[in-house]
Amino acid sequence: MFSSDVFPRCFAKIMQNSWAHVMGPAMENSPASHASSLQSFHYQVRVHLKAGVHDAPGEAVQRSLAGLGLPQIRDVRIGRVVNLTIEASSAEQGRAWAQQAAETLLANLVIERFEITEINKVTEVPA
Amino acid sequence: MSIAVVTFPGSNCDHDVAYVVTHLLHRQALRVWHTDSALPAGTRAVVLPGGFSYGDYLRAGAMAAQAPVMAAIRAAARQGMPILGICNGFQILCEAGLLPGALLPNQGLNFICEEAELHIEHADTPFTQGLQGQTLTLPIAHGQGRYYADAATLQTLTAQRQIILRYGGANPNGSVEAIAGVCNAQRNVLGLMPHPERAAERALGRSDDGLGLFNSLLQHIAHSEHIERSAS
Repeated sequence: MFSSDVFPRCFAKIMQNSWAHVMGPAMENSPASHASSLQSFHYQVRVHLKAGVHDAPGEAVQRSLAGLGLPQIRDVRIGRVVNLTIEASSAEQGRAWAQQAAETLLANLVIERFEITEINKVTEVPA
Repeated sequence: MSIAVVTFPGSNCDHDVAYVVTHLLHRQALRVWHTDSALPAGTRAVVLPGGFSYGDYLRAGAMAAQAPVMAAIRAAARQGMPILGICNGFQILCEAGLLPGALLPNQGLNFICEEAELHIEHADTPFTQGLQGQTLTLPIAHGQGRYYADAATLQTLTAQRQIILRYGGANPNGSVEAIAGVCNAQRNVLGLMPHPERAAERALGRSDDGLGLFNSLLQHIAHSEHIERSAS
């Protein structure tokens, strides 16, 4: 009953469903079946609190910096950076999955916004 | 009549809720694990208890909101089953989109563990029947309990009378409009930061005001069952 790997399976299921939704019927096959054509893409998801959402930790850091002799720093907003390595057949496909991950879990769109950038060059996935 | 109590990895108030259901309400507490795909037969209400599901990683309640059992809970909520989220359970319901708004880190950044006064704003939910206008004393224990909703959402919540509990006296965590608990538009899903299950028995030497919320739920379920029996 108590299993430590439940979340990865749960998330994999969400992502699998999402792949079909985002990428269409072609994505119903497991990525493993296309291993020879897959590459690793690296994306950085940066999550920020929306403007107007109070950032209590950011304010505490700002006060701390002022106490360290940096009162010039008037505003501190703290975000979150999540680096993703995604095996995909194209950068567009990889980005779509990163987008899905951000919308589904990495950001809460009630209070946060996010942006995605590809952070370095593609590497081949070993067969 | 049975009440399901859901346990996520890191839940730590599930036993307390099950104790209240079993020993104070004298009903069956059905224990549900977060990977379960269905609620047990006979479930008439669901409680998402407090704790630190998934270590509060990413955001409090974020990963629990995606757990397999949440699909069954969404379906039950749509059908009108009472769903109560306490503390982390409230955070999970917001993250799951079953309740509006979100819970941010407390204004003062302290983890707050104290008794708070709570005003019951509306009695027309399964959890607050007979409590209209009452002020309850309940413990709060949270680091991320600052309720936030944007202006448009607040307007809707007010117009639809979905703000069910507010802090009386000093606002402990900076919640917008001192909101301590909200319900959904259907009024069958309630989330609140205070812990009624920790204040349900005089033997603990403190307030037992929390029992009123559970008794209300019990009466609501009994009434629903009576209507169902009459109809069949």
